[in-house]
Amino acid sequence: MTGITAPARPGGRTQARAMLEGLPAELAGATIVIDFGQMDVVTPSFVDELVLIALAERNAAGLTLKNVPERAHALATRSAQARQVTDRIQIQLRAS
Amino acid sequence: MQLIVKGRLQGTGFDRMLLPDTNADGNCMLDLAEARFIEPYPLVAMACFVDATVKLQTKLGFIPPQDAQVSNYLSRMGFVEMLTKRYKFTKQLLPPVRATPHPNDLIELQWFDGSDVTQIADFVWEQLRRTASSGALNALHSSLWEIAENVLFHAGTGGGWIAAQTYKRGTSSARVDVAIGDVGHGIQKTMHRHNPQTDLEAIDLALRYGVSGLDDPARGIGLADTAEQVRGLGGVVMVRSGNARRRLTRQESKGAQVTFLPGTIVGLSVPCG
Repeated sequence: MTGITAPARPGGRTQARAMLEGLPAELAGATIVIDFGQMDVVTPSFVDELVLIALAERNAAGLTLKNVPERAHALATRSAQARQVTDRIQIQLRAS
Repeated sequence: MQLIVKGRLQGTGFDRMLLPDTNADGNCMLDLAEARFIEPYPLVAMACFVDATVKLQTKLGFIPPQDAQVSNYLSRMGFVEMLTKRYKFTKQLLPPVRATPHPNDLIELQWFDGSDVTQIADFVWEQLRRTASSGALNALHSSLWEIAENVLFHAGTGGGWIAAQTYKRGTSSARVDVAIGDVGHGIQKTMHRHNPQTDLEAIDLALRYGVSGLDDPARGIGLADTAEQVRGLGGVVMVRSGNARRRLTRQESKGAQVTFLPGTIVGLSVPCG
């Protein structure tokens, strides 16, 4: 399991790619955990790029998003549906 | 092309004042003699107009504003510097003004590329975090990133123009206007895989969730989300590309034919309360 903390104000696709660039190119069998606990604001492209890289490009067994604000939850759900990876993503809402 | 500004240059006014023809000498003309007030969307559109004339390799005539406040604004917001650099003017275009920024200035006209967007978005956040609602902060941060990355990924220009202004009510920010533009490929070319027949059809495709210029059904979320957020706050979204413009508010969506200008300009007016 690999844990990463998302920044407070992430940008777009470029920043998502930079955030995950240290991960291996092939993630089969691995679960990636990204903590959204510090996040103040989110962009749709940032969330979609995380889903794209972890699950579609690098084939991770799972992607867990923790402490997710409501808007990011909706964006991640939409992205996972569009990419047909809902079976490999867990989205845990931030406690209010 | 000629841009002859009479009175206040705000919102869609730019599109009414941009004319397709050159002047009698075959040159492009930027006539600001009777300009009275300029907002960020037309300011960025004017920068794109200047870049378009450079691209066309035509001469550009410039008639400066008679109004001292407009002169001051154009200098302060960086337009005169931009024009001087683009056309390598050696003479002073406008009388010198004090360089002190106005309290309402947020981002002066500046060229951005991939390395600048974080700094711009963080600056806007810091400037507005005490006076704007969380909804407005979210919409502005998210929109800046989505539109700027659209320019960087799709325009083919390596960057674009941005400007922003706050409009205050007492000590609070009542509204923020931001505009981002480029003179790149334009939306119709970016959306060619969907075969749009007109620029307006291409703009409407770009505003739809899940439609993008790439072969990926999960893309095409940035501009659609921007429009949804800004309209939800009661703001205004304007998307201009080629010879069309779509203006969206919470209540209505209006398309229009406008004078051709290469590339794309997106303008947002976001209420802060």
